[in-house]
Amino acid sequence: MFPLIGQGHKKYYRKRYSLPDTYSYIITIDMCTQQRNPIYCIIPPHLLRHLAQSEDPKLRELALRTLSVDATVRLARATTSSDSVPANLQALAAGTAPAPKRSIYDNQHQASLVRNLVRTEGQPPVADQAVNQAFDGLGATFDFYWTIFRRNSIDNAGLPMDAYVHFQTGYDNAFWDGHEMVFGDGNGIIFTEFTGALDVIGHELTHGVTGNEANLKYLGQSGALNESISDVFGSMIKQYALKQTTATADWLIGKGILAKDINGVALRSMKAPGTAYDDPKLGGKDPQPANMANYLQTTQDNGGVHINSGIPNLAFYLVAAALGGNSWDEAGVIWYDTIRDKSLTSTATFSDFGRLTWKNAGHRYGSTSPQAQAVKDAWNQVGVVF
Amino acid sequence: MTLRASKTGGLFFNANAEVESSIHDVDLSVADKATLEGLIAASGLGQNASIVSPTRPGSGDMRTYRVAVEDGSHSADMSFDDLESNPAKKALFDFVKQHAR
Repeated sequence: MFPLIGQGHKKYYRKRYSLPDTYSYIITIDMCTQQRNPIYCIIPPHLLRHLAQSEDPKLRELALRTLSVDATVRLARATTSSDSVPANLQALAAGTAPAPKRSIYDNQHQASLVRNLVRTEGQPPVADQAVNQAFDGLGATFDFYWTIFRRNSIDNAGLPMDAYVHFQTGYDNAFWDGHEMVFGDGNGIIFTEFTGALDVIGHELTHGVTGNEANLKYLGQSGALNESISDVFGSMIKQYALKQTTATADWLIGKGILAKDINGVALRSMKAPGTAYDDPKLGGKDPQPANMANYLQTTQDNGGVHINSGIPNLAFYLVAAALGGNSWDEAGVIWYDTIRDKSLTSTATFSDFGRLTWKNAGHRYGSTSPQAQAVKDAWNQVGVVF
Repeated sequence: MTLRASKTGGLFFNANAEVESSIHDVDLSVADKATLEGLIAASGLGQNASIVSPTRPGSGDMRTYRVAVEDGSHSADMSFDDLESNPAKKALFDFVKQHAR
């Protein structure tokens, strides 16, 4: 019997196919994934792997996409960018999942990066909690992207994941510099260690993913989309690790890293933008808007990239909540399809992005599907029209 | 001579952190003024009208620091990020922040 390579969360069917015309058969499988309750299809993995190495790029892409919907992953999607195919093909052909290549450096509170390696693959936990949290957080992020989206690390080609902890002294931030992650310890007045929040780690690494895909300009609406995408995937990474559904997740970003005297629960709330904190040490109340009517025009924060991101954040939450289950089952797939959509430009507006999520929901599930309708409704609810 | 310092960016928006600070050299002690002049020289700000460090493609949540100086008809400014290699630039930024009223 052929193994089942696709499964649904509602129901599925086992079928045996003869393969008189392989090419059209693969296309049929691809189309299967666009139904609300698709008839999940069966094909020998060895044949798919063979087809995935075809010189025909269309056939190769279709085979890779079908391979991605395997028995252990719901609604996963294989990679399609030409530069990433070899690494994924190697792993798929070998029948093994790729492994992360993590390196954690203790920056010893220096202001420039110090390559003082303290933990790498195969090594046990060390005494320094920040080192272990960074190591585990990178691993959880790698695992999420591979398991759900068949994405092999940040660049989808197995990029080693490097992180520096204890950057500067009392540094109140964490960032992705385009190549690696850097964590501060916080000064204990506003923030504690930034390695303490998995969604923050996922957020920063997703900046790397976005940089490799859409490269959204870090200014104004495109910058707010860049930030929102990091929040969306950072939150999903946390939810996945904690086995939380859309209903049980807290939808908070950075919960647990605010110092104890701060009046707040997190940096941001995706479910209720503008409610994460209210404290004079943070400049007052959380300024995130929940609707385009309250979009903030400002020269601060690169045009409000961490402020106006509340609007697309809420749109994602509304889609996930409407569809139920796990956020990565359908809403996450639609967002991932969108950041990989070649139509997404580096200067995209909220309206551009919203329209593409709707288009991709239609492409994957059908233009009149509940998923496409949920996307349209969510953007409409936050005042983004397209 | 007037110096202004501000920063933007980071993992989240903190309105307090983005408030611009300014100092006037006439308000400084002789020792502080000497320190300031040394930092301006070491940062390169005194010799250039504008210093902008290269941007880092694909980065996210890095902070950008800005220092501007006005001295009569001469004005200059510079911006740099968290991984700036010249420590005098960050030291000048910190000096303005610490001495601002």
